[in-house]
Amino acid sequence: MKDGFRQTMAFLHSWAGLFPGWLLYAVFLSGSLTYYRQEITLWMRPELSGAAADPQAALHAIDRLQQAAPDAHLWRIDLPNARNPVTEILWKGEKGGFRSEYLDPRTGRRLRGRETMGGDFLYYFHFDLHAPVRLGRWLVCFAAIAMLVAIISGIITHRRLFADFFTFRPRKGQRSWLDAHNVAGVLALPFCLMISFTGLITLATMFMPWAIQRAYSGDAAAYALDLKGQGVASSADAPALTGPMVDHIVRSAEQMWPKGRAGRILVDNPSSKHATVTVERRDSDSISYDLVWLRFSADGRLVARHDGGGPAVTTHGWLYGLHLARFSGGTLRFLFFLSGLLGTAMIATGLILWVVKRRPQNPASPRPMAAERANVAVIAGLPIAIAALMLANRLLPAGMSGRIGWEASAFFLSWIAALVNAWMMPPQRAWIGQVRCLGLLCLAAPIPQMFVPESGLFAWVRTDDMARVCVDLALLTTGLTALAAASMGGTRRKAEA
Amino acid sequence: MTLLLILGGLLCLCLSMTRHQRDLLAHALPKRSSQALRCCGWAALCLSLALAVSDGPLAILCWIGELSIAALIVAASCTLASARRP
Repeated sequence: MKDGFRQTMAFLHSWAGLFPGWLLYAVFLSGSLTYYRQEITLWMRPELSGAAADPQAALHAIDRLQQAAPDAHLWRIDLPNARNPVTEILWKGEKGGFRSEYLDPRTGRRLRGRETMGGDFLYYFHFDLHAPVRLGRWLVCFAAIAMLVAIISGIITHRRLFADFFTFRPRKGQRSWLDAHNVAGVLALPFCLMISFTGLITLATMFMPWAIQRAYSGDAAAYALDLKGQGVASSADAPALTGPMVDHIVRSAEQMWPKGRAGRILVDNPSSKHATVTVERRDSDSISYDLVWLRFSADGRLVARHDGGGPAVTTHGWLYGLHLARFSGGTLRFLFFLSGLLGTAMIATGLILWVVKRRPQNPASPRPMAAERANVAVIAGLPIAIAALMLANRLLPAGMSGRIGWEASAFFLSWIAALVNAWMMPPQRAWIGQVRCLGLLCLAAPIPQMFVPESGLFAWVRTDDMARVCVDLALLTTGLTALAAASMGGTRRKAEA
Repeated sequence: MTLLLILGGLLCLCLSMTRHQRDLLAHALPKRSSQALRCCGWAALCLSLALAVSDGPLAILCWIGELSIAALIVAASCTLASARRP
C-alpha cells in the first residue's frame, strides 16, 4: 500500500511539475532577480548616478510639485533611501492619468534619464507575465498552486531525504540530474514552501473574491480602505500647504516612530483648503507590509493614524511582507536571492530530469521530444531574453520615443528567436548554441556604457557606486559561467561523437 | 558567526554518514565516533537556531537562508572530494 501511495505521488509529482514547470521557472527566475529590482533600475538608468539622499528632499519635492502640478488631485513623493538615492514624484492630473519625475534630493533639480521600466519590467513579469487582462495573474496563480502540490508530492516521493542530503554524483547521466534536483530542492525547501504560499496570499483577493463580494458587494476599494484605515478628510479651513510645513510634518512623523523613517508622502487635494498629508513609514522598517502611517492637515495637526490593523490584517501583512522581503538588508537580501536561484535550479533540473528519464533508449530513433525542445526554449531562452533586455537598454538611443515598448520587444522577440531556434535544431546543439549566446549577451551588456564619459564599470568602481558595479559584475560572472558551460558541453559532445 | 556554527554542524552531520566518510576521509569511521559526530552536528544546529531565535524574527529568516548556503557548501565539497578520488 505504502509503495502504491508513493508511486501515485511520483506520478502526480512528475505531471503536476511538468506543464506549470516552464511557467514556474520563469516566475522563479524573474522573482529572484526582483529582489534586486532597485539595483537593476539604477543600472538601467545610468544618467541618474551621482544623486544622494538628503534631509531636504521633501522640501525640494514639494517645490517642484507646486511648480509642475499645482492643480493635481494627488501628489506622491517617494523619499530617497540608501538603496534608491533619487526622489521620485508622481501626480494625478485633473483629467486623471499619472505623471512622474525623478529629482536630485539635494537640489530638487529634475533628473532626465532614458525612458525605461528598469527592474520593474521583471517585477511585473514575475506575477503578470505582461499578459493582457488578468490572464497572467491567473496563470501564475495556478502555477503557484501546482508548485505547492509538486513540493508536497515531491517530499513524499523522495525516499531518502536525509541520507541523500549532501549527495551529488556528477557525470552519471540521469542519476546526476536526480541528485541535483534533490539537493537543490531539499536545500531550498523552506524557502520554496514559504514563497509559494505567500505568493498565493498576494493574489488571494483575486482568486478568492467571495468574501469581498459578500461583505462589500464587490467594492474592492472599500475593502482596501477598511484594511488600511479610513480616510479622514480634514474639515478645518487651513492655510495653503507649503514646502516648509510638509518638511515639518515629515520630521514630526519621524519623531513619533522611535525606530522608523518616512518612506512615502501622499498629499490629497494639495491645492484645496482641505489638503491632507499622509506620511507612510518606510517599507524596509518592518517585516509586515501593513505599513503604518500618520495623516496631518495642512496646518500640521495630526488628524488620523494607522498603527497596524487587527490580527487578520497583521497576519496578512506579515505573509505579504515576507514574500516581498522589502525589509531585508544586504545579507538577508542576498540569502533570499540565493534561495530563489536554488529554487529556480530545482525547477530547471526537474524539467530536464523529466526528459532524460523518458528519452528514447534507442539511439536509432533520434526524434527528440517536444518537451526537450521546450526545455531549451525556456531554460536557456528566458535568460537570453533578460540579457537582451539589458543590452537593449544600453543600445537603444536614450531619447527615442516609445523606448519602453522597444525594450519589451527586445525581450519578447529574442525569446521567440530562442523558441524558433530550439524548434529547428537538434536539442543538443540548441543547448550549446543558446548557452553560448547567453554568455556573449551577458558579457556584451556592460560594454557600451564604458564608452560614456564618467560612466560605466570603471567609473562606478571609482565613485563607489556599488549597486551598478554589482549588476555589471553579476552580468560578467553569468556570461563567463555560461561560456564555460557551453565549451564544456561542446567538448563532451565531440568526445561522444 | 551563525553561518560558521551551522557549517560546522552540517559538516559533522555529513561526516557521520558512512558514504561521506569514504568521500572525505577515504575510510569509514567506527560507529561510536559516527554517533558522536551526529550528536555534535545536531547540537550545533540547535545552538545556532537558539541564538537566532533570541535575536528576533529577522535572524530566524537569516538562519534559514544560511542553512541553505552551508548545506550547499558541504554538498559541493563532498562532490569535489569524491571527484578527486579515483
